[in-house]
Amino acid sequence: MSQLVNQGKETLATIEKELNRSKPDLPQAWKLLNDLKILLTKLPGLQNKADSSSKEEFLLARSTFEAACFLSILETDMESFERHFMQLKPFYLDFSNLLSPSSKESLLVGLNLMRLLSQNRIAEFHSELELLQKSMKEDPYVSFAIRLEQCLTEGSYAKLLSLSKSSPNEYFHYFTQVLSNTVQSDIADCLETAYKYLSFEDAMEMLSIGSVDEFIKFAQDRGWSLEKQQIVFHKTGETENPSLNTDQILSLIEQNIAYAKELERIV
Amino acid sequence: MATAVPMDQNNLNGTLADATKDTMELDTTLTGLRKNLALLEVAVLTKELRLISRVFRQFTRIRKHLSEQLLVLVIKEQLQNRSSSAAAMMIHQLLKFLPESISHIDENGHAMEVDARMDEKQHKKSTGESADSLLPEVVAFLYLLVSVRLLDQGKKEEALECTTNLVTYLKGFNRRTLDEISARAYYFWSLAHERLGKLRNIREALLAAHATAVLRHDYAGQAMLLNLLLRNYIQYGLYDQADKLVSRTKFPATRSNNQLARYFYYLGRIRCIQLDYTDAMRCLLQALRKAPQNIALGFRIQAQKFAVLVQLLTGEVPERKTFLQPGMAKALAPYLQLARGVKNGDLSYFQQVVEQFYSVFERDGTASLVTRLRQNVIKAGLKRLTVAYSRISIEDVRKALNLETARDAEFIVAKAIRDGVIDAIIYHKEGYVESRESTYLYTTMEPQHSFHERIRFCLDIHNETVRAMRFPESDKKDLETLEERRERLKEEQELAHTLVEEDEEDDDIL
Repeated sequence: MSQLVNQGKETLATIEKELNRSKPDLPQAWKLLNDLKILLTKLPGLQNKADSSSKEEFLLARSTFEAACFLSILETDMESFERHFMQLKPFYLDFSNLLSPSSKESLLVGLNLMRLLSQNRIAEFHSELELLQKSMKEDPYVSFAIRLEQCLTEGSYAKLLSLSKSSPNEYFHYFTQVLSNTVQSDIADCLETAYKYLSFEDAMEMLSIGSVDEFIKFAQDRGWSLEKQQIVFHKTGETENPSLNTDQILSLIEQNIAYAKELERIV
Repeated sequence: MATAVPMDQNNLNGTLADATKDTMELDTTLTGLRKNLALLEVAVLTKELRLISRVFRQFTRIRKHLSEQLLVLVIKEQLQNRSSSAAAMMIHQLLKFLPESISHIDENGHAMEVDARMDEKQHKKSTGESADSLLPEVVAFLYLLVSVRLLDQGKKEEALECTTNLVTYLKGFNRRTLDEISARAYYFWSLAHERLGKLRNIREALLAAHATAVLRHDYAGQAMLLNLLLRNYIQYGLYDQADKLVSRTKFPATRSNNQLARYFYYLGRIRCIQLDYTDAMRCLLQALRKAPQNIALGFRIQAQKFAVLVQLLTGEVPERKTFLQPGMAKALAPYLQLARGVKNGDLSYFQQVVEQFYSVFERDGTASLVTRLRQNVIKAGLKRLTVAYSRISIEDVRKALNLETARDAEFIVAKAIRDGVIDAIIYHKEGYVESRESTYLYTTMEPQHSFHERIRFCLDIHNETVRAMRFPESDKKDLETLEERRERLKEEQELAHTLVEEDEEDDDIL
């Protein structure tokens, strides 16, 4: 079996070399990785209960999935990253007393947190956070994600955007990019409700959009009306009279029927 | 020394009095214990599960007065008049956990034993001779008593061994009368593991046991094991798994209130990690309501801590009297200060409190919730500002809230407006925030929502009470005489016989 492990290690080394190159050949790397994954299924230690003899095999499997995570980011495939990280998780959690800690663990955990954040899955973000030890939370990669989350919930968007520019690792770029898009639309939502009018320059600065053309396109996408170098937001709340909308009416009907049913049961 | 004599005498009297008091206590506990064991046997023979729960209602009281001497006495007593069997062997093993068993025959013990024998004759008469062999229920009950004693004394390793023996022993049975007992066996088994920090090792075993309990319709076991599993997951921060477990299992409808309270507490903790604060609040309040009101102070304090935090996170400030409940004031003091910080929207005071008590929050497992409170403090501060001023400059907002840059302050205000926390308009060029007239609340859906909450609560209570009621057996059965009953049982037995025979015939044909 050790032969298989050695073979796997060689393939892994090639993949990692590919990863470290400035312009990795992704299709080739994926192909190698798939081969490696098939090889993993043949290892006996991974199928049965964990004991110390299968340690080598575990380490190989862990490194494989770590490489898969990095590859997914280079490929900008969020779903693939999520899937591979899920496979990686048991190695970090359940086998933590069996294996020596991985040097890439904190980076990947940080990246995963960033993924949840950029997908706006805050509830899962917090359950992930509960899994981490205190020392892990102080790690630069992880604490970066935590700080961003705090800014996001607080509403300090300016701080968030400036923070996300100083990402601690190049792999973070992909996620900060997605995140800043999310934040941009968040800010736009805020502008719509909080302002009556706003000059072009100010709005551009707030949304951190560089060129006027880009901005006009953005404004048109959102259906803002532009007048004399100013955006005027139509207050939806003011024009609408406080009568009930369909949703509310439906929920009212539902509630009343439920009361009738319960009352009938009592009497 | 002359003065010492009367004092000594006093002392002597004192100790004598103490000793008699002790024996008195021992006596009452012993009779209580015997009564319970007898009750247990009756319960098993009549298959009346209610009697078993009655036995367990006295469990805590007995637990307080347990001693090795007492346990040895009871165990020997159970062994004496029973034929030697596998069950007796099991009990014999118990004695090795009790160091007193070797040297227990002092004068006191001797006297007690005579007593015991006298009692035993009566006891035998009362239960009849039918209970010749030891019932597994009795064995398990004795094991539970010993385990509790070991745990209370802090003998963790022995307790672990003892409970493990018990759990393996119980796996061999499938009797509904054992349900309550085995549920408790699992509880102490898990507790022993927890004290030793080995909780992770038994997760699979608990899951398997839960599956078995579900298949056997063992409701007591289901409830207990579900709670143990949730506790296990939460201990290791595995909220994801805990949530999945909850969504795929059903808490049994017939259960003790205490288990329900624990279930709601764990559920509340899961929900507040997932930021579902309204549901978390509902669960935690239920937990507090269902928990026993006079005892279980530790549980109530812990649940109250979470309830306070969740309430703060939803933007409400708990009433002051929550913090002043008897026995809780000291434990809740840090939370009171937190609440004060949130209420006043004073960020610097809040941060000071957090720093001061961070270790406390960490120990309580509430630290992550506390860090989430920061934005609530800001929101509360903003609310106060907009209520107090009809127009305020962004720069002043920044100063008042202790924020870093004016730009961020503006964004925070904008977000608060969008989230509906405050009702205001920002004028960017002029650099101020103008709050709008507050809307007339009764034109909105708000009153309807509050009414709905209350109506639903009342209906829930009504439904719960209806469900909790116990109805007397129908009159028809009461009228059935002993003869008739025997007749009926006989018929049923015959029917079962013929069915079995038919089955066998069927097998032959096949």
